[in-house]
Amino acid sequence: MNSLYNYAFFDEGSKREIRRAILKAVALPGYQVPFASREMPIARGWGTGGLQLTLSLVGRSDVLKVIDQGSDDSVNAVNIRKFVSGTTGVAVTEDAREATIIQSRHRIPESPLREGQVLVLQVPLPEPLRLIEPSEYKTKRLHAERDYSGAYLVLFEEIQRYGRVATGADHPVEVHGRYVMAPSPIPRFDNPKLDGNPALILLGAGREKKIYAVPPYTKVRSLDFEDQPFRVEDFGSAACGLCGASGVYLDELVDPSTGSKTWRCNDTSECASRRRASQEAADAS
Amino acid sequence: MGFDMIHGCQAAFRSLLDASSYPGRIVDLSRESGLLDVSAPIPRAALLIALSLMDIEVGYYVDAARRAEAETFVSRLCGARPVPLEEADFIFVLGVERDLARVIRGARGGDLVDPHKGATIVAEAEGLSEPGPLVLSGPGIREERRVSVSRDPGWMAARAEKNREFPMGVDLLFFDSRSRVLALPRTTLVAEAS
Repeated sequence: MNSLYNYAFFDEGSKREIRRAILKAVALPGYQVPFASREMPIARGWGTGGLQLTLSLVGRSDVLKVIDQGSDDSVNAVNIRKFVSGTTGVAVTEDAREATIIQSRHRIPESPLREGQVLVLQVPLPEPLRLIEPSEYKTKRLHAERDYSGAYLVLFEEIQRYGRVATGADHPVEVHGRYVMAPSPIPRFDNPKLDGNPALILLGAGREKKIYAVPPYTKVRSLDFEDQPFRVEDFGSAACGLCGASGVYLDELVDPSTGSKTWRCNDTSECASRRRASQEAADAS
Repeated sequence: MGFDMIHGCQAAFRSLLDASSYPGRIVDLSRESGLLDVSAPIPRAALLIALSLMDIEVGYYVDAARRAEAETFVSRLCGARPVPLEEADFIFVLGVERDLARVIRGARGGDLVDPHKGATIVAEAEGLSEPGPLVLSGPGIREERRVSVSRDPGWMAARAEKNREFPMGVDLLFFDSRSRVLALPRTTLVAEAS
């Protein structure tokens, strides 16, 4: 632990301000609470919102997991994990079940979360109406008036153009029957996990200076139309080439020399633990 | 060993977050509050909440018999400013005989554009326990949760009226003399068991 810095890097005043915002966010599911986003030693847009939440939450008894796009080993995850553990000495893990705080970029872990865990999602664009209204002054009023026709219009135009809803990620959701919220760029595959999740989900946008939350056991509905119901990505019969899992979120890999396709679990720690388990089973028999 | 401003406040905050995320779950702050100075003119749990969440950026209001004394102490300790009831971010109602319903009615409820400006009210109860005659439901609660808040029940109607129009409203934190805390964010529906 690097004791040249404050515990968890921040001064206590910064933590208090973020903590106040977190408590209001929990009381207002899906509503973006403004906060005075601090300068961080990583660039805005690289997870500073999530990082600020994690630093304000973390304490001696926590166990931290950091994921970037499903992987514990990519640059963004490694840097953030090192930074938090370096300034706090907190224990780290790759196992989502062991973690008390999971900071994630663009995925909700495959293994179900439980009560008492906090999932921190990094958010680049917290405003689901930004595409149709560039003014923050106006989008705040659209939320106030619960005028979400713009969010539906975006989906409608995709159907007009492509014959189906074409959101690759960040498919908007309605939280607690009130606010329309950007769930961060998670795949549609992860949207249903937001609904009624036993864990607390906090979302932080550092550049846009917003904190918002989905409390545990909260109704979350992905926006759709009666005749165009919401659908998650469908991988057909594809299975992970390493662990054999299907029904999980998969990455498609193309071998450039042969052009052949293979699939891999996007959640690498889940994939590794499945392979370990089957190896142990094979060794035992 | 005395109170640790960094780790004590962090632990208290996480307990408050836990209580707010799972309304009806009564959290115990006694380990942290037990390390605080006993000569404070406000109850230890209220003092711990003030230390954890308040500073110069916050306006607060105290409703108590020994109000002036409490305000001097709180301001000196964390730098927050005493302000009129309707402007306060945090409101402390100290003493179970105080009129909590009046305070709820007068508190800032935020508006449709900035509902996060609704006040946080920290109120004393004689005791908090589970289960009890109050049936809670809403976000953070799987089906329902039953608690008991030992206090004149006038606050319930005032709270329901204040929080009638979500997202506007006030968020309540009840504490008792054993430093246990019950959170009732504005999303929690409170009904009396029939």
